[in-house]
Amino acid sequence: MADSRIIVPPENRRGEPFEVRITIRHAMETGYRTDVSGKAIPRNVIMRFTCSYNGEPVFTVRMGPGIAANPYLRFFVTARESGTLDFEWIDDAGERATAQASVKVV
Amino acid sequence: MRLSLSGPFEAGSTLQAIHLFSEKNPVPEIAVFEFPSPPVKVEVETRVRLAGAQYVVAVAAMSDGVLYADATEILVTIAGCLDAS
Repeated sequence: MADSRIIVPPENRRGEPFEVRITIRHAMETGYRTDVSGKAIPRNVIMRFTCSYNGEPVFTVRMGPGIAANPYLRFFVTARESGTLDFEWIDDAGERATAQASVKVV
Repeated sequence: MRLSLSGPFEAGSTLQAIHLFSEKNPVPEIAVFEFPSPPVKVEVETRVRLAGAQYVVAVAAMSDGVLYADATEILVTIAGCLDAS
């Protein structure tokens, strides 16, 4: 489940916003589907996603089953200084995962 | 779908969160995007599930309590995610 792909620009100007794109591999089970035997598949979606820039949260998303499978997010973060973007998410099953990307500010 | 918000706003007013709602989904609140530190550029894109063609509503909550809302009609020609009922 911990699979993700992150795209961050290689260089960013101080004070300017830069684009962050992330896709996370996750089924985002709605809880409304049934398996072949007619048994309900329990809901399991990523309920919370957090992006922190040098340890400070800058963008968080509370999600529900209305977000498509393998969630894709594109958002902007304001460049301050070189460092890391930390991504963390947790699903209904309590499974937690993290990812990291480095940010270069010139 | 892409959400964006541009100013100018009242002095000292910053964006705190954008709530995204669906009219027809079994869970109306699709997502809440929160901005713990005031964003310089507000543009968020994600992929959503919609139970049929409908209006989708976005509500932006500002730090001074002001709410901005907008709705747009989205046409769903083939439903990709039917619920069992």
